[in-house]
Amino acid sequence: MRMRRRGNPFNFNQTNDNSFLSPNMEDYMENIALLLKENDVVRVKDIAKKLNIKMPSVTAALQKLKEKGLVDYEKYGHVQLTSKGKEIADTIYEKHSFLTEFFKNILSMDQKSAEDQACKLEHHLSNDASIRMQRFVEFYKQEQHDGQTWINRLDSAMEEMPLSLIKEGQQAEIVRILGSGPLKKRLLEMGFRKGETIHVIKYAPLKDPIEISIKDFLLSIRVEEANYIIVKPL
Amino acid sequence: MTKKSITVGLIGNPNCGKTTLFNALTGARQKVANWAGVTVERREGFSHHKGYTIKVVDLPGAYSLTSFSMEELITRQFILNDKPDFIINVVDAGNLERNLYLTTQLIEIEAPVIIALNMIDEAYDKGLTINTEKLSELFSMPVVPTVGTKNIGIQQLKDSIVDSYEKHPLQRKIVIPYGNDIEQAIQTLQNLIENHKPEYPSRWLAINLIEGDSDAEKKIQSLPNADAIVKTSYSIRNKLSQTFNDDIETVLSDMRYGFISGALKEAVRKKPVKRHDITQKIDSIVLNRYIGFPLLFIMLFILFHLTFILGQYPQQLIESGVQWISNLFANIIPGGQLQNLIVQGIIGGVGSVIVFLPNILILFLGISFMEDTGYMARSAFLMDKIMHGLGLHGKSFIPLVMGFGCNVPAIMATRSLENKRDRILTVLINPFMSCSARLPVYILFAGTFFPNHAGLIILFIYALGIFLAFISAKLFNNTILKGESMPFVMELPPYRMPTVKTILIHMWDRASSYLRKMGGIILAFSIVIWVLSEYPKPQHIEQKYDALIEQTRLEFNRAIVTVQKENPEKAKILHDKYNLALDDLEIQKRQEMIKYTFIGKIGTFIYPVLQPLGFNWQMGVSLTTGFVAKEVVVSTMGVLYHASDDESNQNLSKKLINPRYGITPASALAFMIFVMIYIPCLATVTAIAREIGTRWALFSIVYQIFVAWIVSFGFYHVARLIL
Repeated sequence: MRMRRRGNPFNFNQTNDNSFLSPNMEDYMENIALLLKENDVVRVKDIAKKLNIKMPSVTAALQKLKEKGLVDYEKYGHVQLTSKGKEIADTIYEKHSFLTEFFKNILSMDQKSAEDQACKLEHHLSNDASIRMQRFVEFYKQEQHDGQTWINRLDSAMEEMPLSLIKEGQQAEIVRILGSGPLKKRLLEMGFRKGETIHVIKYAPLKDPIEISIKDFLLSIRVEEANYIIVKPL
Repeated sequence: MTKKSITVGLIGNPNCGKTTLFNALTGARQKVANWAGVTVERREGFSHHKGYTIKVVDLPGAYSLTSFSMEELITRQFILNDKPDFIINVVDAGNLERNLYLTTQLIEIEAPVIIALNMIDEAYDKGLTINTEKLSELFSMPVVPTVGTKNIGIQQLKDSIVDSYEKHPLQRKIVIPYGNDIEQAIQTLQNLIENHKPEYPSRWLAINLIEGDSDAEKKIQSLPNADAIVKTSYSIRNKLSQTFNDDIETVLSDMRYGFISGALKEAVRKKPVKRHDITQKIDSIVLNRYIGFPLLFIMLFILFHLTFILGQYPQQLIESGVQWISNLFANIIPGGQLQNLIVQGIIGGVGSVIVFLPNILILFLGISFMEDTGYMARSAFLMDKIMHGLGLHGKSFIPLVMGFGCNVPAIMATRSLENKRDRILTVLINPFMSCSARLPVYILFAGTFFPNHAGLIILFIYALGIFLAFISAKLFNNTILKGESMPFVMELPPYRMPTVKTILIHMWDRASSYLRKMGGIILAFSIVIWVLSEYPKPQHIEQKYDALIEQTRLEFNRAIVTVQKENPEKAKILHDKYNLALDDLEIQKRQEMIKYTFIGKIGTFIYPVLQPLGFNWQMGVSLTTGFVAKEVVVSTMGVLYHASDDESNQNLSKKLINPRYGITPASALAFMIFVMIYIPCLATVTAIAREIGTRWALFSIVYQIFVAWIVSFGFYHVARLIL
């Protein structure tokens, strides 16, 4: 889990319901809880390593959290969470898990970007929003389990992406052409129809334009134009 | 016997081999003009067959008949208004599906079409077997297989034209079916339109109205119920998009493609062949991440070298030929004004026209080779990212590079840009690419005033030119050429070996169009400028100074003779003094003589404007005469300073730096910059006028002078503080 250091750890987040912790502090709590799950004892060193932060900064943060009564910590000793601290850490972690699930399973993002987005969002969701979202994730899972067809439609819609995101050598099927005007007209008359297969042959040395083949002929298309072609990777 | 004539229009997608087929049909009997009112080329050729004269009009390459681009509109107008007897639809047999899309539109516009199924050999290599009879039946039009490059099927195509002409009007009408909902809509509109005898096919109008085509809307304005029709078409459009849950253009084009694939299923068999795709193999080298660019630069280097370095030899040959003829005439015609006019004015003028010919021939040999092989599109593919950042097109790159050699062929080379806006922009910034004719000026001034940093200064001038080109491109893009840019979607045609015939015809085409369209203007202007620089004849000034010179000579002679014996040293000093005085008188004489002519008067008149740039009067006059060509700047300086003609300009250089003439390093720098930026030359201005219109040429003149003044002024004053 990659956590980012915020610029100012004392800048409390106003939109958060348990707003007495800054995103930065929440990251500390969450990671201490995670480390405690994996190890018997947690030292400043471990936290510093996990968050990629210098030890004195960690010590300072722990001091802050101790003042709030969330951690037990003596100099050079082990770090423990108080029961209040444990409760908060769990809530944060829970948010993190279902957000990751939302991005990964429902929005079809890959594991890494899903976690990344979850890490960013978890500190900013209000309690109400997070409860509703959690409910949605549960509902989705239930529907999926029941084999509802809309799930498939949603999944396939989520797989769609602009042509510009297809990698060299990949093939994709046209779903639709966005926009209007000369570009769309030109694409239509060149045979960019729904269901047609596009083969991304190569990117120019400067990454723009792209060489593609469709219907047995080769075309050069700019990245900004490829954004208007929505495809499904094959 | 009166020959009957048949007019046919040749139409097809880009890269379908249309030009080759056109050449095969007509041979060298072609004439090139522009379409009325636009600078898009109109090419016509003739062919005689079975007692008929077939006039073939080559239409611009197009993917469809919409009204988005000038080219498509021209084609559409030609079909509707000129009503040719037939449209030859050139179709790439290896790419039938896409090529036939245009055919569906030709069916809709109710043009009498004959299909030339071109490059049938390539299709066969791809494993395609095309049943031409079936195709002909399904599309209800004659289909003739051809191979333009090998002259195959050309006779049959001509036969088919004559046959169809004689059977006329036997062509059956077919329609592209659009299904109930749309057919009903079409019928509704058609009924409204047909109430009033429209000039154009009513089904075509109806379909185009449903598609929201602005040109079709314009075309029905003459009908009394135009408003009602347009209103109905809007509501139909909305209703249909709701029915299909998609916009109507997509639906219609989908149905046309449906019609085509249905036909192809019946008429085409494809057997899998083991394909060793040469095109993709070449592309993997030519577009390679690491060697793509080096390869492009090598290609350009070769092209540049051939055009401008190798081109020098025939150029020198032409120059000495012109010289020889001049001498010949000088001997035949007795001396005097007539001899002057013929030898210097006319022969000199002709010389200044044909001197560009070698460059143009070689450059277009190269460009035509690059275009026909398919490499041109690849070069655009490689460069597009950079060029697009400047608001240009990938294809602008080559003409810009060629500008460093000579702007005239470079501006002509912008024809490979299909889009008008891109072309205007590329033409307008081309003069900032400092051409080789400007180099002598830089060498003279940089060598004289910055002897230790001459190379650096010259490099700086070139860089400044490129910088100004980019700035101007940005500026034009955001002001006068603002507007929706056309899509870049560009076909990368398969690599093909071009035929010698096509390349030669293309090359000859450019050269002859240069001679016919620009030659006359350049010649006329050269003579005008020659007259301006020769007249009125300052004979009295000449006589006055000749007398003065004679008098000085006598005086010094006497003085030298008297002191010669007693004091040879003093005599020598006197002799030197005499030479100086003589030189002074000569310079004065020439200056006054030139001042007396029209061009001298113009130079004197504009001089106050140039004074703030630190230029002296001589510089002002040189710039005026430099309008003809940049080489003239140096030769005018030579005349004005009475410099002896030596190859290295050493004599002139010595005089320029003489403080009495008031040229400082700062003003020399400003002068070089001014020469780089202001009007390139008469021939370039003519080329601009011919390629994109006289108004743009005038704009270019004003813009260049304006920028030249501003930039030189800035550099002069900054340099004065530093140097």
